[in-house]
Amino acid sequence: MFTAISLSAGLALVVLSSVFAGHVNESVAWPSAVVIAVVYASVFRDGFGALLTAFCLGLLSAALVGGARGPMLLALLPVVALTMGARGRLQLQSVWGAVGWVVPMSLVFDLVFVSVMALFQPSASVGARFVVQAPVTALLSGLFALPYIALLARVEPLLREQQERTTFLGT
Amino acid sequence: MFFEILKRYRTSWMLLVYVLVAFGLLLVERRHDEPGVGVLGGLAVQATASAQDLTDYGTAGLGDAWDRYVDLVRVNQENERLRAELDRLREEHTRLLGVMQQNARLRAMVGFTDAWPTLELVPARVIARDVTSWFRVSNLRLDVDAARVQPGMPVVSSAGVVGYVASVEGRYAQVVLAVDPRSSIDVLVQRNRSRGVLEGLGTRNAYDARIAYLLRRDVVEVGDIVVTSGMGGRFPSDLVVGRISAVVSRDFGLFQEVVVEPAVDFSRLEEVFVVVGEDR
Repeated sequence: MFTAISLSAGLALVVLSSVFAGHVNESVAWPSAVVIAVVYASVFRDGFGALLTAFCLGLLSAALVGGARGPMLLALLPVVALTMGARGRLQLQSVWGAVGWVVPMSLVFDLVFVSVMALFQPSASVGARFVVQAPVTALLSGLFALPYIALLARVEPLLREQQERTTFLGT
Repeated sequence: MFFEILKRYRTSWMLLVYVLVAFGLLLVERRHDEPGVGVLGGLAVQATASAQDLTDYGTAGLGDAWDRYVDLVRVNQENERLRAELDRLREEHTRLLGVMQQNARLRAMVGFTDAWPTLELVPARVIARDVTSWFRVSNLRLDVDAARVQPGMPVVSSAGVVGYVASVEGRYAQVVLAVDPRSSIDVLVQRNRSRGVLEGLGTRNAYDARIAYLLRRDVVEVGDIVVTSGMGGRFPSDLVVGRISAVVSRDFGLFQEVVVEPAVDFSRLEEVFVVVGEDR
């Protein structure tokens, strides 16, 4: 159930981000919604939930930007792996911890994405834009991650408590 | 049994599917130059595009409202600027009107000095008026030759006789107007040279005077011009005093009652001359 919640919230975030990004000049950096949602799922869900979220949101994001589904999925994979590997050691399971982790993960995502694109689709020259936009995108992602993660971190315990109460009364 | 195994290793097979799909898509997209998004991707794009249209409509409305607000602020600022400009122009207009009126008065005064070359005149400015109901007195500030001004000297304007100097204090002089009850000026009716004495009535709401000692047999009419006679030595002769505004003739007595409207508008008097001498 909670995987579905984070997946739905991630879908909503990606769609909303895409909708509002349409009104912004393309030269302006824009926060990476998919990274925010995947980092959240990777911090607060198990491996299956994180991978499922990354898979669905990666495909959706690729569709919304007009292709590059393969590079998108591959770029999200290290985000999931690094986050799940670091969440115990770096105590990421707090709002500020997760928000702070979004910034380096955004950089990792952009770096891998650009690398994969350079390797497999050299015609799409996105390397120059990476240098300029990736740091700004990472910072904006961290900024926009705060309300998203804070909201879900507040809602989910309430839902969990309600579910436990229902289960207890049912038994 | 199969589902239990599937559930137990769900992370592993999810990872496997993930990697396979990712590389598969990578290879497929590498073969085709044109990127594809698939059926589900197409649906997602359509849904997002519809949402973009809605938000576009909303942001356009917000943009219009903001533009209107900015326009309003600009209009307000321009309004303030134009109001200030209007105030400045009004003040300038008033000042220029004053200058034009002063110019006309000074022209008249120059005309007066040209018409009376035998008179020695000292210009003066009216700075205050006594508005008591009994006396008609003005205070003057003398522009030049204050030392030459003495009590008793006549004061005139371009329109005619004003009065005489009652006292002099430094550069300031007090003038008893011709319409003051204490004033008496020997005058003539210009048309038939009938003689009398002009005395102020000192009425509360008017600057009227009357001619005393005008014989009943002298025929005078309303509108006749009254001038100074030159008798008594205070006022030069033939200076305009006013015009007859009312005549009351009786069947008895030696004299008749004649009311004179002064030629000088005392309520608007600003510049005058003090006659300090006369070349005869």
